[in-house]
Amino acid sequence: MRLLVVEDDPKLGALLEQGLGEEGFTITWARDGERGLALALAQVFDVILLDYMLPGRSGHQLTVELRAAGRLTPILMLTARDAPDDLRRVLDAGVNEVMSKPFRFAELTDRLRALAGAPA
Amino acid sequence: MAVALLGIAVWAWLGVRNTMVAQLDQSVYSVFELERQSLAATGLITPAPDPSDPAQFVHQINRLVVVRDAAGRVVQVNHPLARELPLDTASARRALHGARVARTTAWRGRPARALLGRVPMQGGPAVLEVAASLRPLQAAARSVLLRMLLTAALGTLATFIGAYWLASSALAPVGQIARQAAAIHGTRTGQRITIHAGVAELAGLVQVLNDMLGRLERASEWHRRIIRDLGHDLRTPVATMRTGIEVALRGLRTPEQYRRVLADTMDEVDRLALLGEGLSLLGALESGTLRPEPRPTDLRLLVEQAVTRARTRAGERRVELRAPGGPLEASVDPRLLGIALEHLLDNAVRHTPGGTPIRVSLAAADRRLGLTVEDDGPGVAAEALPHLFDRFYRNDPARGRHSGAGLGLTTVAIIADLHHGRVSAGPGGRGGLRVTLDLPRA
Repeated sequence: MRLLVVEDDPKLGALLEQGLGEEGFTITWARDGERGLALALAQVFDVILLDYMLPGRSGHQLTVELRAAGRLTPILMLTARDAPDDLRRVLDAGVNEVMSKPFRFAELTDRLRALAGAPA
Repeated sequence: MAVALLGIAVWAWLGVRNTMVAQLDQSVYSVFELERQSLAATGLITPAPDPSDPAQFVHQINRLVVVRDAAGRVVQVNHPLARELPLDTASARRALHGARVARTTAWRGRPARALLGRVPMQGGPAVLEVAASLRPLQAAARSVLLRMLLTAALGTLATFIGAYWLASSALAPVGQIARQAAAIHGTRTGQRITIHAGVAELAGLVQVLNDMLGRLERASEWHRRIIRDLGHDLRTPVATMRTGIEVALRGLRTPEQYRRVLADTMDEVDRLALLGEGLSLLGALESGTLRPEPRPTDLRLLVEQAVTRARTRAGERRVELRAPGGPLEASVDPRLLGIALEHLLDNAVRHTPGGTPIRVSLAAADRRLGLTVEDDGPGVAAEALPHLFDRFYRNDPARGRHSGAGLGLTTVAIIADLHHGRVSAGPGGRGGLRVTLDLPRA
């Protein structure tokens, strides 16, 4: 399963790359929204793991532009914000699922597999 | 008001009564003169007609005339009832000596007004006394008093009713404004008072209340934003710690990998602790728990020490100091000012690319000191400059781990204010940011 991780926090990004890699995902890690959008448009991924707050282009903006370009790659968004308005915005933009930080790694793995269409 | 009306009524009544008594005296004097002339002409006083009912004498005749000789014996009376006038020896003696004596006496137990005077008689000088009962006058005075008191009471009642009606009419719109204000719910924005907003006398009140609602709304929004941002700042390091530990526990790791996880976890704990300390310090400064203790301090030395510490964190960045030679004394709290300097330098280090300088300059002019920290980083947009000293404000909304908690410059601003100084921010000469701390020396 090809997973694009868009996360600006270097420590969290490195942990996700390591942990999800050990779970069998093939990881491509982008450290900002600009790079993440470029990779998502240029390559094919089974699922995208996206942070809400990113430098430059936000996770919401990236989703809007990706969907506008006709890309339907499933997106799971990680966020430390849980305001109903924020969640509604990203779901309306085309995010498939939202998980709040802090999250259970096992649950994250299960959800990513489900979105990618792989057996749990 | 009631007391005032009562006082006026009593004062008016006293005036009326005194006037009535004076008029009675005048009447008695007139009768006295008539009888004196009668005595002089005929030696006799004018007899009074006999009323059908002696009890009505006061109302029908009401003039008692008696002549007494020098020994006080009654010589003549205008009516047998006049004999009951009591003899006042002292007044009679004075009258015999030529004085006109006016006095209040009693006739049949009722007060009377009398005038005594000397009159020549064939047998020698005599005392002519004319008396009139005060009873009719007193009855009239009571009637007047009663009417005046009634008028005062009715006037007071009318005044109260009128005042109550006026006050109610005037305050009714205020009550409607209060009811509309009470209906304003805290969670909906944009609510304002609209009732009576066009009434000239109340427009000012409505405007003041609406301005206050606007300020409360902005403060409430600010608090919501703070809590939301604080939640984010707390959750992110916790997420990192949790993920690191979970990933480590999902497989067998080398001791070095476990050590790495523990070290990274400790970093996040330090990050949370820093946030906690920043909040605690800010709270202590704002609440007044932490107060400055100014004392003579060599500011040059203080800045040098802060710059030295900053250089250990600056990595490839050069921290340059320009300061006058020799000590630069100022009355400051070295502990608090040291914290402010740490935040200023920390902020510059965090936002300056490697290999670029951070310029610190210290100067004194007149009775003020100026400390400037300038970098060659990306700078801050003009519209963001006024917000740099707001709590939790970060120039980059992504709020990455390198951008701090957004409390440092707020803390600097508070410390400057506590020292009766100020801090300001503006564009640097080479596109970065320049922050200036301006303090009085004493």
